[in-house]
Order: sequence, then C-alpha cells, then structure tokens
Amino acid sequence: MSKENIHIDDLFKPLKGYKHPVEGGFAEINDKLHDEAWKDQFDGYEHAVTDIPPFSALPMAKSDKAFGFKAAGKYTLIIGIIALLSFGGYTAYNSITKNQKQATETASNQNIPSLQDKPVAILDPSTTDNPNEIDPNTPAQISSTKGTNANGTFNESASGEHASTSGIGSKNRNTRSPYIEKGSLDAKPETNTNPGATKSSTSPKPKAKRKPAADPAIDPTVDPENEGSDGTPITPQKKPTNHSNPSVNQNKGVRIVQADPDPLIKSETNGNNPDVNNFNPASKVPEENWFSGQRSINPFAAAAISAQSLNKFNRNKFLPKPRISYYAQLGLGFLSPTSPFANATPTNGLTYQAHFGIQYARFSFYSGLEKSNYTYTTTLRNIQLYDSFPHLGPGGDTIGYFKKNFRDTTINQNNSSRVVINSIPLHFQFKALQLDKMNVQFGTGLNINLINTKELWYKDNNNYLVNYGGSNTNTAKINLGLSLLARVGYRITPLTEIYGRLNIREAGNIINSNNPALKPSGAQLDFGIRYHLK
Amino acid sequence: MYLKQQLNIEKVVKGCQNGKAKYQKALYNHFASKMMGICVRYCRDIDLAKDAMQEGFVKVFKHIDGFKAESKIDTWMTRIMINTTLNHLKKNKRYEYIDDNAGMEHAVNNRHDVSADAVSAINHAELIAMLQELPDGYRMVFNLYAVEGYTHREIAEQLNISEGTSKSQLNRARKQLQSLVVSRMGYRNSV
Repeated sequence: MSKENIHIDDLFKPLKGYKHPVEGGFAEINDKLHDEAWKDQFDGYEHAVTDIPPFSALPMAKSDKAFGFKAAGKYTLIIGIIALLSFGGYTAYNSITKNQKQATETASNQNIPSLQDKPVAILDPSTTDNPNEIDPNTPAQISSTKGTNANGTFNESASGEHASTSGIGSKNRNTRSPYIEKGSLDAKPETNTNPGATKSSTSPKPKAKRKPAADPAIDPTVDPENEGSDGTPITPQKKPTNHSNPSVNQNKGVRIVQADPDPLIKSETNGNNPDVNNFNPASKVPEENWFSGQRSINPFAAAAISAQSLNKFNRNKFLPKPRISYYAQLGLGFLSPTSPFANATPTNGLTYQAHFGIQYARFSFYSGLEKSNYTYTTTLRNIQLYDSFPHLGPGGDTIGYFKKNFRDTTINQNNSSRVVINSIPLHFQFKALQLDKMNVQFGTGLNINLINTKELWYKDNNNYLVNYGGSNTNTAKINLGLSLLARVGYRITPLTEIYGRLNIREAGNIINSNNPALKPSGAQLDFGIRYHLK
Repeated sequence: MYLKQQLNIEKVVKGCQNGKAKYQKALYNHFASKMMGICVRYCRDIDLAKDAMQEGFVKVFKHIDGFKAESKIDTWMTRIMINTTLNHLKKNKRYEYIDDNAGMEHAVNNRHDVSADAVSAINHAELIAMLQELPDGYRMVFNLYAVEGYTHREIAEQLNISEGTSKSQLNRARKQLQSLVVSRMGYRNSV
C-alpha cells in the first residue's frame, strides 16, 4: 500500500509552477504606482493606520467639491448680511454725524446757538400762547403781528401776504420733520369776530409775548411806524384771520416752537437782526421761495435728535471692541551695566531677546527669553605678601614654612569678570499714548534670572580681590530681578511694528552671601521688531 | 525561441527600469498568472490574492532598478510576491498560530500519505481550493515548507515564529489536507 501512496507534500508540490488565470489588473497597478498615497508604502515604510489621509481623500473634501456652491452659499449669505448691515449702519451714522456737524456749523456761523443743544418741543399751533413759538416760514405772519397796533387794525397788505403765504403753506405740507407741525391757524374763528381784539385777548390762557418779527429793513411788510414808540417789543399778537378771504379761513400754518427763546430774543433786541428762520437750519426757507410755493427742508433734520441721543447713549456701540491679540517680537539690546564695586569698569554688552506676548486693549503681557552679558574689568588687585623661611625637621628636611611679615600690596592686573544671565521676563506694559502710527508704553515686571557665572573677581570685606569664578557654592544659579520699561513703538505695516525700549533692570544678589553682594544691574536700550500674529 | 524570449525579457526589464508603462504592462502580462498562482496559494480567497499580487507588482515596478541580471526575473519576482503576500496577510491579521508541540513526537512517524490512485484525478484547482480551506497559519507554513522548499528555520525567520511552531503548523496542515483529500476523493468515488 505504501508504494501506491503519495505523500501529501508531494501532492501539492506541483503547485509551485501553478498559473492562475488573471484578467486585466494592470490599470489598477499603474494607478497605485502613481498614487502619492501609496508612495511611502513601498519604500520600506509601512503605512500607519493613524496616518492622516490627504485632504482630497477626505469625504468632506469630496462633498465640498460636489456641493461647493451650496456650502459656500451659506457663509456667503451670512457674510453678505453682516456686510450689508455694517455698510448701512456706517452710512447712517456717517450721515447723522455729517448733518449734525453741518447744523452746528450753520448755527455757529450765524452766531446762534445750535438747536441740537437745546430741547425741542413740538406744539400744536392752536395752542399759540406759548411765548416761544415761532412761525419760521411765514414772514407775513410776523409782519402782521408787528403791524398790529393797539386798536387791533391790520395792515392790509400784511394780512393779504399772510393769507397768500398761509395758503401756499397749506399746499406744501411737510410731514417729515418733527419740528414742523401743520395746524389750522383759524381753528378759532370766533377770535376774529371783534376786529379790535387780538387773538390773544380771547385766548383762555394768559398772553405771552410773541417773538419779535423781522427787521423792517428786510421785511417790506413791516411798518416801522407801527412799532412801539418806546422801542420795546410789541406784545405778540395772534395772526389775524380775515373771514372775508376764504383762502385765509382755510389757512393751515406751520409752526416751530423752541423751548428756550432767550438767545433769539436777545439777539434781536441787540439789533443783530438774525433771520429767525435760520435758527433752525432744518426749517430754513430760502427767501426766494417764500412766495413761490416752494420750501426746502433738510431731510436730515429729524436725525439730529437721533444723533444727539446716539452720541449720549450709543456711542460705544460704534467703537471697535478691544480683542485679545498675540504677538512675537525679536530684539537686540545694548546693556550698560553699573559698576558693582570700586576699580571695576563695566563693559557694555549685547543682549538678545525673543518674546511672545498677549495684548488686550491697552494692556499687554509678554514673556520669552533674554540673554544678557555683564562684563566687568578689575584693574587693581590687592594681594597679601609675607616672608617665609623653612621649618626644618630633625633630619634637615623641610617640613614646612613659617610665614612672617604680612603686608598688603597692590598690583596692576586686568581681571575680567563675566556673568551671563539668561532671564525669563514676566513683564506687563500699559499703552499710555496711541497716535496714528506711534505709541508709547510703560511697563514693569519680574525677571527670572538663570545665572551662568563664567569668571568672577570680587573684592571682599578686606578689599582683597577674590576669584569666585565658576564656584557653584559661592554663586547663585537662579534669582529674581526687576525691570522698569519705557517703550516707543512705530507701526510700519498693519501687523508689524518696530520699537525702541529702555529697560532699567536690577537683579538679585548672585553671590551666596549678603556681604559682599553683587547685584548685576544696568540700563539696557533695546531695538526690535514686533509682529502681531492675530 | 528560448533566446528570443530571453532577449525580450531583458528588454522588458530594461524598459521597466526606465519607467516605461508599455514594458511594465508587458512584464505584468507575462508573469501575472504565475504570480497570481503564488498569491492564491497563500490567500484565503481570490480577492485577497489579487490585492496581494497587485501590491507585489507595484513593489516590483518600484524596485526593479535594484534588480540585477544575475538571477532570473521570475525568481526575483516570486520572492517579492511571497514576501508581499505574507506581509499582506500579517497586516490584515487574518491568521494565528497555535503553538502546540504536544503532537510532534508521533507526528514525525505519522505518514501523511494518500492513495496515489485517489489523487490522480485531482487537478490544481482542487488543490488550491483545499489549501484555501486551511487556516492562514497552516497554509503559510505548508506552502513555504512543502511547495517552496523552505526549512523550518527559514520559515521561523520569515514568519517571526519559533521552529516548533512551524513544525506543529506543518503537521496540522498536513493532517487537515489529508482528511480533505480523502473526503474529497470519497465524495467523488461515491458520485
């Protein structure tokens, strides 16, 4: 049986040359061959599962490709709305500010207080007893008032003009300005039943003096002879109405009332003769339009109140809100150390700075690394001399030396001390002045000093120069220091600023002894560049 | 004829070394079925084998610059295909070794024979199907040992397993194949 049997290995051995049919497949290999994602896999590097796939392979990226417009449209819409609101707000604010400025300028040019500085009341023309009321666009009304004499008779021409003007005014309603309100001057026709009586006499309210009218020299309707003989302002009269004239009966006048009449009264009585229509530029009516049926109204007059309230209450809404920003700065400094002891000459050294800071409004904080070199040169050195003679042993051999006749002497020798301090600043700064491109900042803060004493010669209590160089036990490795800062920055691009800084710094004692003590200190002038990261 | 084919292969290899897609395709067309035959022996199914073969060919085209004419190209490619397939299986972790040496003593004496008459009618496709029924670990060791002719030491180094594990895997693979062949032949005879 064994001869007829075959080993299982031998049964499968012929499979070594087995060829399995393959259909195509080269295109996929070719793709993989030129696919960047496969590149590293075959250079002895096994692709880690955690490797980040390329962005183009992410489903999100594919989605963005397919629905880019949809995805972009959402943000475009939001940004568009924000931009539109911002532009609208800016335009409105600009218009309001401009109008307010114009109003102020007009008032100041005419030596009349601006209306915007005064509270304004809107009254119904029917309640005409208010002494502050003024009809800004009816010169006939004014002249007729002036023309009213004690007998209550009216200048014919004056009343006619008034009627004419009033009629025009009724055709030209202006409902936009809150200063102006249309009302019927003939609301109480019974007041004219007695031609000799003034309208004020029939009013239930006490009479008030009417604001004086225009100068007769300007207003031809004014009869100078009807002025009060004593030159005092005539008691204001209600505008007479002529019942025989239907246009007058249907007259609907427009009035403006100012709460504080004093400047106007004063200005007129002083003979300055202001055009009362000019007190409010919003309601200024050009003279040529008095009888032409046209009137010009400043459409932004209403916004003056809004601008006023805006200035008072909502100004902060238009100011840019402070935000946290980050910056990095590199600097090079020139250090001028102070002399730590007599006969030690400090040498100016360089400092190198790299800072990272955070800023909010006018405050900023930064930290980083600064490297400073403190170098001192000691030229005179005190040493102690003595005489010595050998101490001989019994066998004549020298077993020691006796020291005698100690004395000090000074020699000239240059001993250089060098201390390198790598410090980590923790500095706060306050921006005291911000101009267009320049700013001034002041600050203070701590320095964490990492001290590396290269060589240190220092005079002790006996004025002997002692070498502390490289001694770990005698010198500190770390201590704290203090800095006072004054800085001037100048912006050269929106994000980049060059600066100069004065840093007065003092470190703690670097010797592990209070006496003597060595505190590296000095003034440092730095120049650098700051770049705002965000 | 042989010389001409040899010459063509050299030209194809040179073209592949220059990165010419035309020659790469020619090389692929020439060796794909043979390489697929190797991969299909080591993999559980055709899809895995196809993936492994494609990966192997990519590796061949990437590294064909380093191919020296001292050896035959198909030998070099076979070696790459086997390594790639084994790595492919390792990455997919589709196998595990059962490290059991308990049955090794009697396994040495146990003859894994089947009747020569019974197997005479078995074709290669059926053998491949039987191999694919083996667990991955069995199949890899059996292929490397019985078909490729590796020693247990080489298999241990290749698969990073112990020689004992290689032997036990081989023994189990043989046993399972024996039973598969017998059952397949019994079924065929009964039909």
